[in-house]
Amino acid sequence: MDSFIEETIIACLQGKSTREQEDNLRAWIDESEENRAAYERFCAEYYRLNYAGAWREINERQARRRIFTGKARPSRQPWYLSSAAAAVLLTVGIGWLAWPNGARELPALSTELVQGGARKATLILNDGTAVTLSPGSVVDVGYARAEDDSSSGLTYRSLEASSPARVEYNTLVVPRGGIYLMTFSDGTRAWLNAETSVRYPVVFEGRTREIFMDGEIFLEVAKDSERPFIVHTATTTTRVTGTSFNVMAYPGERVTEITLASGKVTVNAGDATLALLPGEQARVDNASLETTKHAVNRAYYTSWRAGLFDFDGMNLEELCTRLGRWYNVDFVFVSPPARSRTFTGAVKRDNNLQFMLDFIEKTSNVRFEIKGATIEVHDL
Amino acid sequence: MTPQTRETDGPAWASEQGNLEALFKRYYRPLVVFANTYVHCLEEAEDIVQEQFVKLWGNGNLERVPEGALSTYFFTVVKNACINFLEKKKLPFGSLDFSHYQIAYKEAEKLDDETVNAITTALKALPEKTRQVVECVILNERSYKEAATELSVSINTIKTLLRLGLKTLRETLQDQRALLLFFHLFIHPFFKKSCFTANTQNKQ
Repeated sequence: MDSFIEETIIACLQGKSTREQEDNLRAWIDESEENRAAYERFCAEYYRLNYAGAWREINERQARRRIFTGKARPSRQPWYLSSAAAAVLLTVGIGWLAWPNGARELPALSTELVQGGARKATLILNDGTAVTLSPGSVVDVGYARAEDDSSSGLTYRSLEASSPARVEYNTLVVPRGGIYLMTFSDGTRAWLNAETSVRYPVVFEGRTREIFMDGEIFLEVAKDSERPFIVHTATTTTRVTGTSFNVMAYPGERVTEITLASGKVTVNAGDATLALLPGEQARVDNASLETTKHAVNRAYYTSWRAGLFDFDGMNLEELCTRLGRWYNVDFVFVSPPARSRTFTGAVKRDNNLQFMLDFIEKTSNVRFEIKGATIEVHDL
Repeated sequence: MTPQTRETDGPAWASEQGNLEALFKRYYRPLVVFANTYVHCLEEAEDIVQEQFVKLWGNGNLERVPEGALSTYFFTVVKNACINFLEKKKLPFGSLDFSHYQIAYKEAEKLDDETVNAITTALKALPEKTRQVVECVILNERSYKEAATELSVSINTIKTLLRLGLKTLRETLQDQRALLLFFHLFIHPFFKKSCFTANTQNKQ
C-alpha cells in the first residue's frame, strides 16, 4: 500500500475527504481483493490506536452523574436553570425517571432489529373486558376456563357438565406483528396469523360448532361427524367435520382463499357451493362473490404455520402486505411498476426484517429505502 | 443478603442500579469512541451517548431488546444519533457506504481496558519522534500537512515515520497478543478455578 492511498484512507477516516478522494479510494478498493484486505486491516489498526487515545480522556464520572442522577452537564445549561430543574425534581420527588425521554425524536427504524411475529394477543370477553395474554394466563369465563399453556396455546375447557343457560362468546385478537395458537373447547386447534381476529363460543353447544373470523387462520378440526365445524368470514361459509385447512380472509383484500390440506370441506359463497379435495383451493372475489376452484401447491398457503414464507410468483405488492403484517411495518411504493414484479422463493419467518429485505433485493429488481418508520420500494 | 428491588420503568433484568451500572461500564466508553468516528469531537460524542443512555433508561425500549442483541442495539442507536447530529448541524460526514464504519463498530465493540493498556504501553515504547507522529495523525486526527506544520518536519518525514511507527506497533502488539492468548488459555483458567474454590469456601 503506497503512502498516497494511506493518506487518502486517513482523510476518509477523519471525515475530511473530498469527493475525489472518496472516488479514488473506492476505485482502489475495488481493484483487487488484496487492496480491500489491506484497507480493512489499516482501518482496524487506525481505529484501535485512535480509540486507545480517546479511551482515557472519556469522563466517566461526569457521564454517570448525568445518566444516573439526571443532572445535565453544567456547561450546557445556565446554573439557574439546572438548579431550578433540580428543585422541581426534588419537590415532586421522582428523581431520574423524570428526565424527558419520549419528547425527542425516536431513532430511525433499524431493520436489523425488527423481528417478525411474536406470540401476542388480546382476549376480549363477553362483557367487553380486554385481557392481554401472556404465557400462563388463566381466564375464568363463567362456565369455562381459558388457560394459556405453551404447547396448545390458549386452551378452553368446560367447567360444568350441564349446558349453560346462555352462550358466552370470546374474541381473540392478534395484532400486526403477532401470531397465536389456540385450542377450542372441542379440541380443534387454530393457528392465528398476524392481524387476525376470531369470535367463538367459549364452549361449543348444540348441533354445530361455529366461529367467525377475519384475517388468516389455519385450522385442524377435531373429528366429530355429528357436529359440523363452520367457519364464517365476511363473504364465505366453510363447513367441515374433521379436516385441516387454511382460511385467508383479510378485510381490504380482493379475495378470500380457502385451501384444503387434508379431509373434505364445502365452501359456500353467495349462491355457489363448492366441495374441495385436498390440494384444492376456493377463491372468492369479495366484491362479486364469484367463486372459482383451483389446484394449488398447498404448501404455499399453509407453510406460514410452520414458520415459512412461501411465495410462488407472488407479486411484490401482496408480498409487502404480508411482510407488513408480520413485522408491523408499512411499505410505500415509490415506483408503481414495482408493485407488479413477481417473486418466488421460501424464507424462514424468524429472520429479521433486514434479512428479508436483502433477500428480496438480491433476487428481484427492486431497492428498499428506510424512511423513518416506513419502507419505500423503488424500482432499480 | 437479599437483593434490593426497586420499581422502575426499566427492564426487569436491568431494574437494579447494579445492572444499569454493568451496562454502563461495559458499553459507555466503546460507544463514545465509536460515536467519535462520526462526529470527530470527543465532547460531542460523549454528549450523544449520554443522551441515548438517558433515553434508553427512561423509555423502556431496552425491555424489548433480547439480551443477545443488546450490543447491536446500542451501537445502532448511537450510530443513528450521530448521523442525525451531523445532518442537523449540516456537517459533512463523507460516504457512509464505506466498510470502515463497520470496522469501527467491530473494533469498538471488542475494546476493553486490557487492550487499551497494551496499546498505550506499546505506544510509549516507540522512539520519541515516531510516537509524536503517530499520536498527531492517528490519536489527534491531523492531516499529514497539519502534522508536518505542528511538528516542524516535512510531509515526507510524516509519511515515513508513520509507516515505521505502525509497523513497530503491529509487531509489538502481535507478540503481546500471543502472550495474552497464552495467558488466557493456560494460566487464566487456573486462576479462575482457584478463585472459584476460594469463593465456595468463603460461603461455607
